[in-house]
Amino acid sequence: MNMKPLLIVSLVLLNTITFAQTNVLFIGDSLTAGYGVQKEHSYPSLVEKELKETHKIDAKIINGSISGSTSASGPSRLKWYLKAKPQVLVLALGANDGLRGFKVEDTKKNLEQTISIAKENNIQVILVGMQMPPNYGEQYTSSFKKMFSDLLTKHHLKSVPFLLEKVAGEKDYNQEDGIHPNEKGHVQMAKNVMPTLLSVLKEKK
Amino acid sequence: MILKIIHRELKSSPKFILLFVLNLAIGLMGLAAIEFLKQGFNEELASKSKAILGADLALSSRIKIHSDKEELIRQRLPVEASTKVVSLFSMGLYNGQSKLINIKAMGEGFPYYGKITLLSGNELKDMKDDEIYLYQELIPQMGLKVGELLKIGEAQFKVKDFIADDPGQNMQFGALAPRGYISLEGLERAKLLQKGSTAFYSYYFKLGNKVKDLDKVKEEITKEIDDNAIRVEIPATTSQQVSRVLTYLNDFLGLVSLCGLFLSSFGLIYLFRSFLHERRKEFAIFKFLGLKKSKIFFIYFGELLILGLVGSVIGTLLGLGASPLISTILTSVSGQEVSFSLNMKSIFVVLAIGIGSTLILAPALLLPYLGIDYKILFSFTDEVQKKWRDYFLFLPMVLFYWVVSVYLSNSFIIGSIFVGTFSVLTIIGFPLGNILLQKISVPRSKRPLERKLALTYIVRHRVTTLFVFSSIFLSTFLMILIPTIKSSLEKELEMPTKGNGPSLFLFDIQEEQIGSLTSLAKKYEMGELSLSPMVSARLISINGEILKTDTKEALTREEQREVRMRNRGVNLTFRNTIGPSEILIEGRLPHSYSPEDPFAEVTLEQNYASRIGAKLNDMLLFDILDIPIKAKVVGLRQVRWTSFLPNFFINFGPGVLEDAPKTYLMALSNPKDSDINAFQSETAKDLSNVSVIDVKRVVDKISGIIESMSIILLIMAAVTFVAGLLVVFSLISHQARTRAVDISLYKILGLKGERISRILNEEILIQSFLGVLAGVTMSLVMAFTLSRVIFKSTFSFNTLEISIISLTILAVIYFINSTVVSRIVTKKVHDVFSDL
Repeated sequence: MNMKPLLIVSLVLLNTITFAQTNVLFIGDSLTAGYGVQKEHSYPSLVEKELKETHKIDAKIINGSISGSTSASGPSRLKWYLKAKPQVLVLALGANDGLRGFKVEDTKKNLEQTISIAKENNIQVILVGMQMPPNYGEQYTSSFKKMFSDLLTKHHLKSVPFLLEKVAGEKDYNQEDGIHPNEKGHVQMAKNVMPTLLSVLKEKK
Repeated sequence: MILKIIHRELKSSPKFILLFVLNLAIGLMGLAAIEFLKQGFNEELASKSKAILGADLALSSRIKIHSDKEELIRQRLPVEASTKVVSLFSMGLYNGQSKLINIKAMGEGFPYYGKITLLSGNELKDMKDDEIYLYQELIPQMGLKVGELLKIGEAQFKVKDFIADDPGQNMQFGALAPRGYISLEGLERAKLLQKGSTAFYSYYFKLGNKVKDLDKVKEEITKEIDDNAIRVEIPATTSQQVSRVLTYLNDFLGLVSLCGLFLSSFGLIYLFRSFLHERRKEFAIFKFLGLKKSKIFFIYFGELLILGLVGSVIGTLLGLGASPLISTILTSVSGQEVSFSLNMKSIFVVLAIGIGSTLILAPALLLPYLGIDYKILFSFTDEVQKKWRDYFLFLPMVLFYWVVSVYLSNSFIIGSIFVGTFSVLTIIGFPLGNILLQKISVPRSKRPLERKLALTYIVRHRVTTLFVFSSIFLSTFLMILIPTIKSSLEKELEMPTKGNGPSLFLFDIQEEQIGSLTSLAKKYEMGELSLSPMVSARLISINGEILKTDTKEALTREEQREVRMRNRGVNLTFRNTIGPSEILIEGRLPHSYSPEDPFAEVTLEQNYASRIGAKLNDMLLFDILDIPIKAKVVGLRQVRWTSFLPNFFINFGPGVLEDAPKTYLMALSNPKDSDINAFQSETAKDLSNVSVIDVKRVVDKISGIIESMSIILLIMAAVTFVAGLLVVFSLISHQARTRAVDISLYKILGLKGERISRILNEEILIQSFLGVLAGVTMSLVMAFTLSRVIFKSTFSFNTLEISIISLTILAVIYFINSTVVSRIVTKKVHDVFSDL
């Protein structure tokens, strides 16, 4: 295999891109990185497969997700991946911010910054909604939820209302840590993301 | 009559009694002190571990534990009490500000062991539904005071007090948020547990002292519960660092006891052999007077019993005397209560070993003398003729020491290696040495007469030479072995950041935040101990072989867990130097990468490498954020865990990962004792994503334990040295006395006292030098083996220490030999012969 270092990542990424392809960049945390499951079983990979096999859409999924990452890393990560010329950004950050009790305003600021960079580069953003578990208290969970709706309204974004819909709190869909989805959970997350992504990609055609 | 004879015999040999008893007592003193302290140390650490867990057994899970699991424990084990604890994160609201708090809702009676001390000096117990007890850091962080109301979930809680000491948190490397304790009823009031809540559910069990083998219980319960989501915990597994130090200490102390006992036994063998040798004609007289062999045996056996008893009691008392002193030193240094415990079992063990090691001498040393003939009364023969079968009489001694060695070293392997090495060396060494000495002839050169005579004696009296050589060899071996292992362990426990260890860990630092953070650290006069970039990746293959990552392929639960772990990915870093907390043990550091290179280079942490089955020169394939990177393993590192600094399993060389998305990890020291809370608040204000974890408390606690361990190592090495010197004293003075006839013959031939002393000194010094040399070599080989195999630490030795010990041994030998020889030289010749 001809290995190339990250230093010349742009060449590698460009090599794999054909003109007909739409490049979809996922920037997220452990949920999107597929923490604890095989890479092929992570929901971005499942989405790519389904787009190709079921919907015959030639989309190249680039998974730039990092376990444990917070929204603070969003802007720099997106800047780095600009070399791969993504046309769509699935922004799935914020869960770790919430779990670590960050101020909602700070998370909002980071996400906004990432969205702005995407817009400046003509990248269509799909904002993936995150919700905080009820144990964080009504005030925090609702202000966290509101932050996402504010961003959607302000930036006129397409969205996935809640990434962990039908997954959060379900024993069968999660790993033994109770937080990270298992293979079944990722199948469900792919289902959650697919309608929005599909509509965006169809628009792009 | 036998008792009368024993009394007379002992009365006539006060010097022998003194030496014998002293030898046994000093050898046992170390053993006794170790036994008493080991027990106390283990008990203290066991109770500390129990206090960390707060119970004897716990079940915990991120998913609600079904009550049938609790029932299973109740049915299987003698449960005295049990309770539930729920731990979760929530936002505390006060005065318009919110802060993440780790809420721990405890059931009645918890913790069963240890106590949570409050700032008011009271102990946390009997919480009311509307009360909360908070960690002190929330005072400056939120401006909270006792009596104020804090909103958690849907309920208001009155701040009742703040926590001063929490054993459950003492050994954990910080936490994301300060803790707050409420009752289970309080948790219900707050309505924090709803569908979708993330919490940690635990059941804690108090089993009292009824269950002995908790490790086995844990294993069985884990199997019976058969649920990967539920973790079974026992006190011993709550703190890895503590159990690691404990294991080192236990193994080392066992080894010290073993060496001390072996050394003391050599001394005893020598002394008793010397005693019997001097009494050889009395055996003949006893027989001549009609005493049966069995009666003669019992006379000397009785003497051994009395001496063994007296020596063992004195040794036990000396050990008892030394233990409080050692425990006081350890307690003051470590800040941990290291008490010595006086229990019947320890006393019995010490006395049994002491008396046993004395009585076991009887068959091997005494029985050959029982065959003595009356002829010896009328002959000048010095040696008692030995038969081949007499050597088999040593078998009970070998068996006895084997059993004792396994017991003292707590390990069948170490015990067997010890006894096996000695046995093999004796069985092979003696015939080999005999042949070697036969082949050597003293060249007729123009050497001084003294040297010629000395060398001739060494070559001709092969048995004596081999005996002296092997005794010095074994004594040196044992005396050097302990300080050498001590050096290796000290190296392992050495704290590279001693006195200036990390106080804070900071993570999720973005590249553009490094400057601000460094300035902030400078403002608070904090030292930057490490700043490491961190890049996420997945390991795909090793040498082209794809790693198993599909959970469906994993058959057992353990395999499934392993596969899950693999799928969690790995964190990489890059740097071109070795960190202060690492040692390169194999290979080299990675070179800088240039685009023409076919692959990058990495070093791996040695335990990680063995876990994934990677070796030097293996090719690894990583998936770094969707980009395949091939890297060759060019070096293996050992991480110095005592540095308490963040470390990485995989380290790339420069030139590969610099541009990759990454975050940074930082460790800061706080030498000026700056206000950590103010630093944390300022970080939270300006760099809100950076998480700051206070690790000072746990670093201090573990450092204290390590320091007390180092002192134990030093004291025990000193005890072994003293025991060794006593052995050398016994053996050299015995050896010199056996030369009385030779000295007289030299005198008859006209040699002056000075020259005679020189001959005998040269003789003993040549034998001793070779013995010491062989002993040092052997101890280094053994220490290397034990360091690598048993202690799994880096081998290290202190040349100066070894040289000082070796020279001291030679100096003591020279001094004792000169003193005894000069005393014999001044004796009149006819006195010497009349003694015979």
